[in-house]
Amino acid sequence: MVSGRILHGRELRGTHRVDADVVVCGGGAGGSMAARELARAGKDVVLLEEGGDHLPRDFTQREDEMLPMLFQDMAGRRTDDLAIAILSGRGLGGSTVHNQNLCKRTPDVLLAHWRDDLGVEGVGPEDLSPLYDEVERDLGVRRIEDHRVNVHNQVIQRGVEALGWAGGRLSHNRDERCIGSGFCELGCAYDGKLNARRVLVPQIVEAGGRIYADCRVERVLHDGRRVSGVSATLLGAGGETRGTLEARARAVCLAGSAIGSPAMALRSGVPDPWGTLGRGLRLHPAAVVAGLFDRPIEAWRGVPQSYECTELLDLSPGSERRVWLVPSFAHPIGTASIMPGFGPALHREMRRYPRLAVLAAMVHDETAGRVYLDGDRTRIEYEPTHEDREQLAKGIEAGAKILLAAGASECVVPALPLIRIRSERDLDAVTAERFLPHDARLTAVHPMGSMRMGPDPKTSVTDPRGACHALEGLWVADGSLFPTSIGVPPQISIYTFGMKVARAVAQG
Amino acid sequence: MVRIGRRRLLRWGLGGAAAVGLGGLFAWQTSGYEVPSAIARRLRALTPKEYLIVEAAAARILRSDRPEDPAPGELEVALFVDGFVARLDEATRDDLKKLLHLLEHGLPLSAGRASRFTRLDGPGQDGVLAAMMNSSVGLLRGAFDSLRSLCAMAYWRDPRTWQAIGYDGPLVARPSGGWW
Repeated sequence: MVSGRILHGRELRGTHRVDADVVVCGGGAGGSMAARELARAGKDVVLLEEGGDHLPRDFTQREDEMLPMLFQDMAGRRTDDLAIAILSGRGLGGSTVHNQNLCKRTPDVLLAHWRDDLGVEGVGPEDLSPLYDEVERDLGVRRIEDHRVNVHNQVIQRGVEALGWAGGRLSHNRDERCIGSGFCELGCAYDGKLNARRVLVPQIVEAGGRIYADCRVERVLHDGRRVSGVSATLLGAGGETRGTLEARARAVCLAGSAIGSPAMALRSGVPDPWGTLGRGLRLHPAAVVAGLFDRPIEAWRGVPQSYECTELLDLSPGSERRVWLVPSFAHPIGTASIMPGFGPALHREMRRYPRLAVLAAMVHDETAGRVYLDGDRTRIEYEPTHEDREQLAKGIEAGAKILLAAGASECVVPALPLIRIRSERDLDAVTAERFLPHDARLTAVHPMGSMRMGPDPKTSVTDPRGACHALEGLWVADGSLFPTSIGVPPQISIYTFGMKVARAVAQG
Repeated sequence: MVRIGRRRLLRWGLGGAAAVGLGGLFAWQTSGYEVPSAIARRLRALTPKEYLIVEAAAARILRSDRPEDPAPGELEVALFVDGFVARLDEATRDDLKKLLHLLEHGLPLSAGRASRFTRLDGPGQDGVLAAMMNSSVGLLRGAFDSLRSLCAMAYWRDPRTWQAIGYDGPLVARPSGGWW
């Protein structure tokens, strides 16, 4: 029996080789859950994570220090055309270290669609509900308490209620250590998040799993028919190469996100006879609208997101209401990055910072993007369809109505040129054409769907269990699996699929 | 002639840059770019020329209309950018450098200015930056956005900028009298 531990690439040198039953590539929600399940099932598990093992004492609450540390590409990842910023996690715990702790299951109507219309067996509501229950127990998911709803969310709620629209309180995975500092997206210095790093990583180690942080998987090793392990690079604190690691195993589980996992597979020359690998990428692109109030909102204080507006959210297939509205907030650097203009105009907008309430309109997207390689660089091709841009416009229009109903004197949509809305008469300016690439600021934090599961190898990369159709022993255990967008924050679903896939791997 | 191809304009993000490959052709022009030796010694990724281009661009992008707001030079914005760029992967760092050379030599020409960006007066530099920001070429707009974001990070990271926007800063390590 191998004893569990965390090793750090920055503390190792030279050439290393390990043998295991399963190698898990990526230590986010899916990978951590898969590794824990496998270790508990008695498998010898090695988990490799490219980023570091960052602990609460490392979280300084400073954007200039935390964004490069906790996000892929130093928070600079974008689509090919530079039009959409994509924020993905890096480090043990992945995006669960810096996310806003939102916990929503994939709606039953979508799970039924996957099962009934797309033929993905074993993912119906009755199949997944017990797994969701387990995950939510593990992570302490509960409805956010009244006293944690900050002024910003109260203002948004008031606007939604004034319009008579649908909305409600969100559920989170945090406990009493949370002091409501508002710095969730920069890592919790108080260890108040019941995330993959806090909950699952110790359980992996306790069950005998070995974890390598600062260890970038370079290639999945295979002979074209079945996998034999992975080769990886041990990284120093500055990203420099310190050594290599070869991990031999009969099963490899990719869990490096819907961007990292297909990139790893493509780089490794994983057989792709039907050209499905990397295709079908969904992003949940989001635009924002800010409302200016005559009193301080100070949206950076308290739990950032505790209320949602679901007036425009119907996730039935073919629905024309595909927008989720949620309070959105950024610290100064994030805010300045979104505000358009420069010089005095930028300063004038920034001086409004304490009096802004902001709503994000996130689209349950139908656009199918693509992850591909250009040499060794990972590229992301994604240009929202007209239909998705219409949804963005509908969402921003609705967001402006909410903010005006809540008492905002003016709303602004960060776009070129800036869209200013002082009354409903100005809403005509919010059209799909204003959401062409580069016109409005778009951000995405939920990549998914780039190695989709399904019964047909011609249209999917893995089978419904998460096993790769074209390479024996290769599994996928992250949001890459989703055959469509899920329309809600994906972390709980990614944990759940990590659990589901791991149990299938354990069964052989 | 400046040719802007989708594939040649390499991507860049919050900390990086997209650049036209042509920008690299101007990198050899180094005369007339001198920085104090104390600055030159601190540069980790940018050449003195590139440092001066960043310094000039940041001065306009972050210029405030209120004298009480800190000036970008006072906050060593260009030096922060240099340190940030030093941590980027090599390919992204090269992209950023190409963009800087394009901004210095190519974009003024396309904006009707027969001068290097760093030698233009303030309004002239604003004109070049505005042309980039509003370019019909989406990738150039994206490149401007990323350069602006990088400058914004270097500026609004500093507690001396927070009072003007009413932000009281991190709780961790907060000085007993507050950040400002």
